[in-house]
Amino acid sequence: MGKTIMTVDDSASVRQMVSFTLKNAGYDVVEAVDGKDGLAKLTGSVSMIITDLNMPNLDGIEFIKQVRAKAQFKFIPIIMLTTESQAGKKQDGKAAGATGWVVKPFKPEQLLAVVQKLLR
Amino acid sequence: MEDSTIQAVVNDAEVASFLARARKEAAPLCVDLSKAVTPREAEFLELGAALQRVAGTVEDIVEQAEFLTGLTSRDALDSFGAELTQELDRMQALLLLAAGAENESALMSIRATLAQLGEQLGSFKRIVKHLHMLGISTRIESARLGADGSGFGTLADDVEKLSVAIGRQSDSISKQSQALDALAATAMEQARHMLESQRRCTDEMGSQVQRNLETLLQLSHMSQELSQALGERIRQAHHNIGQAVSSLQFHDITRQQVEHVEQAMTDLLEMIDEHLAPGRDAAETDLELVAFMAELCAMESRQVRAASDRFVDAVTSFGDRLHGVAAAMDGLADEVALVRQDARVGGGSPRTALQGIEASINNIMQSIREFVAQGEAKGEVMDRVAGTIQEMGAFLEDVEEVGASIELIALNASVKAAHTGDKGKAMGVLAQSIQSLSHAARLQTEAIAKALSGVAASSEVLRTNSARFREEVHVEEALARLGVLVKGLTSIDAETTALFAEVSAAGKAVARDITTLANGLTMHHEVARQLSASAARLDSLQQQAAALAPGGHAGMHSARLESMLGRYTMEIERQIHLGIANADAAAGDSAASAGGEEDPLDGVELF
Repeated sequence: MGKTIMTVDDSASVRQMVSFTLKNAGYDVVEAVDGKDGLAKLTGSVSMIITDLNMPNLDGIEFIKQVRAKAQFKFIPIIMLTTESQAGKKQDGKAAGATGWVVKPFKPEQLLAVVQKLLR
Repeated sequence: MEDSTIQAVVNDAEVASFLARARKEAAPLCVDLSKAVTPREAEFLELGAALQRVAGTVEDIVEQAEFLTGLTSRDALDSFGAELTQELDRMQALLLLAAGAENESALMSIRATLAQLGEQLGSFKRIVKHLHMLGISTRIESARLGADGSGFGTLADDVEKLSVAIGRQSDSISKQSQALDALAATAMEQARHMLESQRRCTDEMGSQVQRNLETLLQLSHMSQELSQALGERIRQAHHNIGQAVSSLQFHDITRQQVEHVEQAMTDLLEMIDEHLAPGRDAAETDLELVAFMAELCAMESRQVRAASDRFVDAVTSFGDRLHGVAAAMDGLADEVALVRQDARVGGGSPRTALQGIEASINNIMQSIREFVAQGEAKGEVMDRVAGTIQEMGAFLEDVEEVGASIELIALNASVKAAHTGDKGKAMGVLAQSIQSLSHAARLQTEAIAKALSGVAASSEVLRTNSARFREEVHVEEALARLGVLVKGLTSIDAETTALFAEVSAAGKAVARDITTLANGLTMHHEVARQLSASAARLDSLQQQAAALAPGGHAGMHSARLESMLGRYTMEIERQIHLGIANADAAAGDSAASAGGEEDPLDGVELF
């Protein structure tokens, strides 16, 4: 069985493409529509999180902070997948506990390279 | 806010009228903007699902194609060729053994000995004739002696009987010898025929094996070329699917860009209302607000047009990628069909190359069966030859007995002649002759015995070869192994033929389906029309505002517009804002940009 990756994004089409890419590569995928939904669905089986930044209810930065507050998920890789590319925002993400930053649109081989590198 | 309220607040009637109009137009503009892209998500999800189905089908075909090239891979065919060569080498060794070249020399030796035997039997006949004559002379002499020669009548009978017995023996040996010679001649003929067959069979095997190995090599090359060609098509398909995945994310990207315009226009509405509110702060004049509206509408119009272009470009790109996948699968189907055609013997033959090899091996197997049948027939003749020689061995004793009988008769004649005294002198001469004849007979019997022993010795070679053929030439086992090889080949041929057809048909079918899907993409035209209409309304507002405040900010962005830069989330929005990007450049930033060989971690920042 493949490792489980959570994709958190308010865009269903982005979640669909992330999920398609990861499942094709043999990963199991859990989808969440925003940070709040992501926290609710976060279980011990999740090995990595790929999250958007701008989302309703709970945005990516706050979501990462809350995930990092849980001892169990203190060190799992969290990648931000967002249209945002400003250095300041990236700094915020890093400060919140993000492991890396990928700007949308992603290419499947790019996303998989990141996932494979971080889940090695 | 009522128009009358605005008229009361704003001194200039024309400005008041514009602000009232702008307020009325901004709200529905926001609604129209939100209706243009956001509701299209369901269609994007359908396209995403279609892409997943396409990718699934492509993977199934790729799996089949890889299995197909694996079946006819160099390793698989090399291994088959090696096995075939090994089996046929073994078979050739068996054929050589079955042909038994040494049989011919044994048979020649037997025939030479039989020829000598014939001559010796001729001499034996002369002895029989003498014996017969001696018998008659003894009988005449016995009659002349009258009562004194009464004992010689019995001697004459014995001599007569012996001559008859020797004649009979001689005839028997002669008949057996002739029969044996005929058999040996037949066996020699068969042996020669078998040697020729063996040579023909070996040559045929050699040339057919060579041809088969060449065919296998050709197939292996074809398979290798097919594998490379398919690899390229598969890479094309995967690359296009990857690019299509990128294109489908542009709903989210353009939605955000349009939402930012909506937000800016909503904020403008609030700004106008605040400006017109009773007890307003007079820090900003009406014309300053109008001037800001002109530059904001111009900016948002550019953002909307850029979003529209990116959306159109993404959908167009998605269609192009689908066409790319279709072309790759169509090409893959053509490559497979081409190899399927090439894999036929002599181009237009209805037989595949593997079927040609099967037929060739079956021919070889048939030749071997026929050859072995000849070998068995020859073995039977050899057995008969050996059996006949054995039978002739029995004559040896008879011939020796004849020699002893003649000696006994000669001795008896001498004794009887001595008893008769002077009257038996003539009988003594006869006894002397019988004795001489006995000596000659002794020499002949020894020569015949020697010849018969020689023939018997040669028969051992034939008997040994015959036994060895039966014990060692297990052609059926070798044929069974070849049969297994042919069966394997039949199975590979059936499987590859079916797979060639399946992969080719599946490739064509998926290419057709993908083309239909790509040709059905029209939503971007409607989205572009809606966004273009919104941009036109923004342009109209901008022109009206610019006409009322022609100086504006002297070509510079106002501080308020500058402050909006921090609200954007996308680099392309910032570039448009700063005037360093236009709609075309924005479009170029989309998924349409097909990357070549790039580092997959490009654009990724790991902390």
